[in-house]
Amino acid sequence: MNPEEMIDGYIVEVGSLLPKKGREDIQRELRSLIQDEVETRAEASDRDVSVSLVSDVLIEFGSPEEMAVQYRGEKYLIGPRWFPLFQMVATIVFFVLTAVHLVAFAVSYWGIGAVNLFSPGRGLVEAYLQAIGISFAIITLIFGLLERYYGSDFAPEIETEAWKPTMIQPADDPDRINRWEVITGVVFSILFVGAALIFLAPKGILGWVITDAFRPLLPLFVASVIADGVVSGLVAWRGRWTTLLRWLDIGQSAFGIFVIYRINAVPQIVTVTLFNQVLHLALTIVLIVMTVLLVIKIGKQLWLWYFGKSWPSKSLPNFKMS
Amino acid sequence: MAKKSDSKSLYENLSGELRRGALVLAVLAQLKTEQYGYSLKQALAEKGLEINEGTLYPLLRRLEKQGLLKSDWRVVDAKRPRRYYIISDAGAEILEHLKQDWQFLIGTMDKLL
Repeated sequence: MNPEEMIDGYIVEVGSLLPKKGREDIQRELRSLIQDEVETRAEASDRDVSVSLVSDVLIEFGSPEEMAVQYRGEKYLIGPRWFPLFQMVATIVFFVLTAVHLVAFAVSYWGIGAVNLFSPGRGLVEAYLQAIGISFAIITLIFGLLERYYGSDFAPEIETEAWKPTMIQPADDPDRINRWEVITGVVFSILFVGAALIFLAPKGILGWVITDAFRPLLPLFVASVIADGVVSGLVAWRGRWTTLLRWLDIGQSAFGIFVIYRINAVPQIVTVTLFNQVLHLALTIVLIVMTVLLVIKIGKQLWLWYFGKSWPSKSLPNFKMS
Repeated sequence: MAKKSDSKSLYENLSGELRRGALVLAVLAQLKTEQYGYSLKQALAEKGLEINEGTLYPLLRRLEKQGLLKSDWRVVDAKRPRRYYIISDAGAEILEHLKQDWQFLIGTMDKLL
């Protein structure tokens, strides 16, 4: 890693702990401030700008967590250490609940008959809003408790000694991962498989929804989700992407496409005929998206293999003047 | 009885609290003339007030958000763009009040200590 890459990595790490609003401006200013400090020290000591000089400066700036805490202000329910994960979990839960309620609505509407969306206490809209409200409250409570009991581990006075600039991952490192995102992905895979097995089992609550033609494919579907979870788990355990893990990921993506293709080939997937048509359309879209993503993954891997560097898609902020 | 390390940490916390309010006053006073982050840090250090980067730079943004400072990006010495800060009218007004409070506090504390 050269000095410039070290600064970039630091800025990207600070940015990842800040809210989107104002993030780019803070990153731009931070870069300018670090460069000022580094250049002045280099001139004063008649040294070249080196990794060790940048490292000294970054130690004084503090760990990315410390810096983010200062920029966000000190009063928060969920601090920068937990906020990105909180945001991600809340977003996933929101989309999952929305999807589940849309399916419930479709099933009720086409399968049983029209439901009164606004009937007090029983309507789906009310149930949906309630579910969103309760879920958000529970997630906030969990992360609030995590912040209360584990957030202080990252408070400036404790973190200063533990953090070293050598821990910075280069901003454009193709093998860089966000461990928390990967772990959350694994957790959701487990929850998804668990829910599928419980609800879609022959005697499960939604067991009646799927047809006998689709049921034999259920283990295959569960296996594809498990394969995804296993690869994510390996990536989280390893702490970064490796060539083997990338090819395993490509393999499990291809397997996922094969499974979705097999499911989509079943004429009657669910017992509700009209919903069946919607499902086929949705699966076709999923197949197209997954195939495009797979082609991109393979393309990136071949690019990396051939050129020895990552696909040019650095997510660094634009440092031009506003 | 508190352990030595606890006592040190407690002292550091209290000392930090004591400095925090004074820092705002020092920064506002120093920004009567325009400065960018690093030049402000240097100016404060020359007058004996060393401030950690992780404290000073985020503080500038907070004061700007509160309307006490104004800032803009400019290229001055043909190097890279820098963000220049200067006290706003509202900041200047508050600075005058804070200065009076500070003088009063010094007088009172002198009698107490």
